[in-house]
Amino acid sequence: MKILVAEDEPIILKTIELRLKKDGHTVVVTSNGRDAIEQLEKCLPDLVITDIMMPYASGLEVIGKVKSMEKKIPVIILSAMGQENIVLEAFNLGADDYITKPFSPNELSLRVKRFSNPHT
Amino acid sequence: MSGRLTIQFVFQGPVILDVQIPMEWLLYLVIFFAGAIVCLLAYIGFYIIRELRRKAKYRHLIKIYSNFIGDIIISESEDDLEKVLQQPYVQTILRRWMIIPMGRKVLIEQLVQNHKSLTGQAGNNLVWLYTTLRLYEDSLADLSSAEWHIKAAAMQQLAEMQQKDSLKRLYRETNSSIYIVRAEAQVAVVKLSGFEGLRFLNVISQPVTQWQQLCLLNQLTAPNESQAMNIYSWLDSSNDTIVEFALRLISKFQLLNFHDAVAVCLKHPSSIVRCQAINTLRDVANESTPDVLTQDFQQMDRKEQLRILLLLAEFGTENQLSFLRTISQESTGIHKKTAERSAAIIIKSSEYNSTGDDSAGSEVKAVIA
Repeated sequence: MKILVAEDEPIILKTIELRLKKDGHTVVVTSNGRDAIEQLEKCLPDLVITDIMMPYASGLEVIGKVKSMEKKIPVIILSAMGQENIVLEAFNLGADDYITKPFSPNELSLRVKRFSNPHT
Repeated sequence: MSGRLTIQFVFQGPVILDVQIPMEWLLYLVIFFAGAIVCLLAYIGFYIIRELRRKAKYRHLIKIYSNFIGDIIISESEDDLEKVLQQPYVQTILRRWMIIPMGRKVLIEQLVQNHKSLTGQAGNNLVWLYTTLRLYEDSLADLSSAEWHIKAAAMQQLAEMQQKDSLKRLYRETNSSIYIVRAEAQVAVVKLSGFEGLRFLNVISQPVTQWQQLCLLNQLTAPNESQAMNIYSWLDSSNDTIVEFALRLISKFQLLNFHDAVAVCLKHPSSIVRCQAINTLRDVANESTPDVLTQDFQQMDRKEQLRILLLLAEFGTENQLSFLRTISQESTGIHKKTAERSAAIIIKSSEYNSTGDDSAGSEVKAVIA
């Protein structure tokens, strides 16, 4: 599965990248919302994992862009504790799942698995 | 250059200052200030270059650490972690950067920052790396710094990376005269040892601010029976802020056994403690609470009396109606309205229910706020 990951914390981004590659996925990484929106058109991912608070464009804008595309792409959002309102807004925009920081990369891996095998 | 420059200061009348400055002096002054400006510009230039270099180095370090830390985070066992450390690229990083203070400092920062975003095995792996590379020694060294911000940062690092061995050092700072230092130390010991960590309350003489009380409450989980027994001694503390905090603990964990001890605090000389005691009684209320609240009503200040009248609406029974009627007859204004409102709620006045007049309620809230 081709996964686009947008996260502004470099080490968290690298961790997610390494974890998903270990699971056999193709991973495209971006460190801000603007690059993520650009990459959406270029790489047409099968899944998007995006942080909410990012420079240049927020995760909500990324979700908006994903949901305006022809291809149906699921989105997992990464949110910090206490961002419940933003999470609700993200769901209203069409986000499919969310993970709250602090999070476990293993948990993220399992959630991604649900989208690669939607019937499990 | 020769000659003299004459300066005269005239202020609506006679000359009050007549100074003659040799032209050479002026030249020297111009040269001096020009030199000073050049030196200042050179200093600013060097400073900017140094800062840019430092930032570039910082970004470079994060880049080279990200692979390394990423590999550590996703390791699934201690063998995997050891294997990551033995990898040639990691050995190069360790040899090159772990001997430089900035290299260690940036690594500590990154481990602490990322530990906040990760749980489970991933978080434990970061603690393992911090411990294995003996980075706690840097944090412990910073604890001795004379700069409060370095001390405070070191405490955050030790607490975040679960360094229980540093507890003794941290306890020493819980009564520091510098607010930030003692606040960080108190949060750190509570983070490391939970409710047991609150034993600093037995010895500190400095106040625990309300913000600090909230920070500590945020870190705590419910105490067991023996841990909760310590609260009795904190309720007797000569430090009013500790008594207030003990009452907040009783509220947060709804420690019903403390009802009578809280009731005693209604007679406390500090108004802040009395107010908190009223709030706490609400959280640990039993059938005796309304009587306890009305017992010393006349000795309370106006704000406390209002709180009690409001609480009676929640907990009062028909036994308090005569008390409320007396207050209603003897008082005026907001006290009268509130007493009547509470009485009406208690007897579930049909008139009150039908009109739903809550005007007294909003006025009371405004006064208490």
